[in-house]
Amino acid sequence: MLSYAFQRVLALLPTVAVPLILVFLLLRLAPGDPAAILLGDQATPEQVAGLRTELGLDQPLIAQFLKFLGDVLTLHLGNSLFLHRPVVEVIPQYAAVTLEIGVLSLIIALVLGVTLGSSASLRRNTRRGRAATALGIVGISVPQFLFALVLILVFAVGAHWFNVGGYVPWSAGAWPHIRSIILPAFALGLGETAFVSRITRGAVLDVMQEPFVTTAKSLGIPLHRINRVHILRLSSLQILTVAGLLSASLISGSAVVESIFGLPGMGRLLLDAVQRRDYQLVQGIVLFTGLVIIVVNLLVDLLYAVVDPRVQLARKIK
Amino acid sequence: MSTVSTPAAPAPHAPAELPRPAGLLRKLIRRPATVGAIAFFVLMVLAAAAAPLIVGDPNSFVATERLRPPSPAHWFGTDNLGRDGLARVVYGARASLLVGAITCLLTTVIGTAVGIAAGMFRTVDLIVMRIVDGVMSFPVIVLALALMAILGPGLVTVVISMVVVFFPGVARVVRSTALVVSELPMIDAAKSAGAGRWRIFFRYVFPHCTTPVLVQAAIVFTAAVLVESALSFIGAGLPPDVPSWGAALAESRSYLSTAWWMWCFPGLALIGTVLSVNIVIDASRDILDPREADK
Repeated sequence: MLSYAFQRVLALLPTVAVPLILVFLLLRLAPGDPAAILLGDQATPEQVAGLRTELGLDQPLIAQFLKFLGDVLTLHLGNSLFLHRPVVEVIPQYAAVTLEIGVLSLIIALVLGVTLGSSASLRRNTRRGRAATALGIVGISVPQFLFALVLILVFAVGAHWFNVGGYVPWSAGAWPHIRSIILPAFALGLGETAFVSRITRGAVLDVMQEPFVTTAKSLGIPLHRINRVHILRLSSLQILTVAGLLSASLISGSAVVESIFGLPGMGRLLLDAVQRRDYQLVQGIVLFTGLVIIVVNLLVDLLYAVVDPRVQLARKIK
Repeated sequence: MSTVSTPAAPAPHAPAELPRPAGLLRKLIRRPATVGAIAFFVLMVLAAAAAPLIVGDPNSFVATERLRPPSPAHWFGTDNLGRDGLARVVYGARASLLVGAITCLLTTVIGTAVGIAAGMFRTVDLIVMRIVDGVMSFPVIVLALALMAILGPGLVTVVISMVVVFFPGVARVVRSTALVVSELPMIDAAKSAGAGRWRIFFRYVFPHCTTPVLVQAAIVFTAAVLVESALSFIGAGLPPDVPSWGAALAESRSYLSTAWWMWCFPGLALIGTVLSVNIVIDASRDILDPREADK
């Protein structure tokens, strides 16, 4: 298991390189003097020159990159130009909001998506099954922000159950807080629901053709038991494999959903940082996002080996 | 789903059953839902292409005609600035389809080139495909926003970020199809007849990749249309003077309950376009994977 884990970490190294190189090039490709950009309009020439030496911008590109790697490893990501606080301190606070909505929407997507997807496949020749299939294909054609608009229209403007937007922290009470994040989580989750549902449908249809299902049927095991114990259990593995893609799409979606509902999350922070040209913050967020994606993918890989004994077994046979 | 993931096309199980694009099209037009979808999409393309001929200037406004519901003069009503809804939806189709088409084209060309390289050379496969996997899992909107910080907002930024995230999907499809096809007896036959590496690849292996690549390109197209609309919605997409469905939907936010036509028509146009392509993709997959069709 440990050697497998080590192997997976090694395989992920090139993945780490992508956000690192992107961030390194971010400032250096931007028009103008990076040091001057970082310090903003009101900086004096002395300050700019000081920062240029500090960042090593007068050195060759390779030396700059090594220094940059060192800074990243020691978490020296600089200060946010507008928030006047170290980037390393700002990010966790915003990431917590995104994480909360992300996890909630993931639960929504998995519960609804697996229900819908298994219904579409197990009952594929009934009206309900066909409706579930159709719902899946319509669902992947609707962008998250449209889900958000419809939810706002129905549940906030129409029914007044929730607020149109705005964030209420935990400190203001549990219910007001949950009320403020339910609609965003659903907006984010509904888009993923269709995706999960289609993956589930495909996975279930695949597993249904496995010989052991035929065996189980011929042994007279009740159909609902075969569905639950044999088919859905094995299909859930395939759903696990797309968790990496799912997390990337959740992060993308959160940028949109957070800006619609006015939530202080990572996506919103990034949008604001880009619009204010707060490069240090943009760098920090891109690196952080890359890190999150890598960790999620690693966890999925490891979890997969734990859940599916065949992965380990195949290695031993080799 | 969701705006942004591009699930890879299914791995071809039996390469011998991969029809060429013409055969696929013949089978597609036997399905009523697919014909309807194709008709809707063609209508959208025609409307977008002929926009200046069928509607007036999308940016012209009449201050006294603000927020008017649909009427014979303004089929889709007018928006909060008194601009014609129909004109904006038709010109919005131009923006969306253009972004979708450019992204789709670049993604397919780059993805195919990388996929071919990976399919032909073992070293390229080992190095490039790992990096490609890394790029693929990066959130496209985060990349688009980061690039916006360097390049500024606009069409180029939007397209570049999508091409970077989406080309790996095409590359993987080409590579996996190439690997499957390389195992076929006809390749051995070609080798024993003395055909060179390049000839084998381009004459025998590559033609089998065209249909899966077309399907993947269609997936990229839908993803590109959705991502562009999402970026325009949050004000990080096309410039504000270019009419786009995403931007129109963003403007409708303040009038959700008072002016339904402001969000309804751009919303339907967006969903209809993506849905019509998705229906065709789904039908193609059924045809490409006969196992799927029995289900």
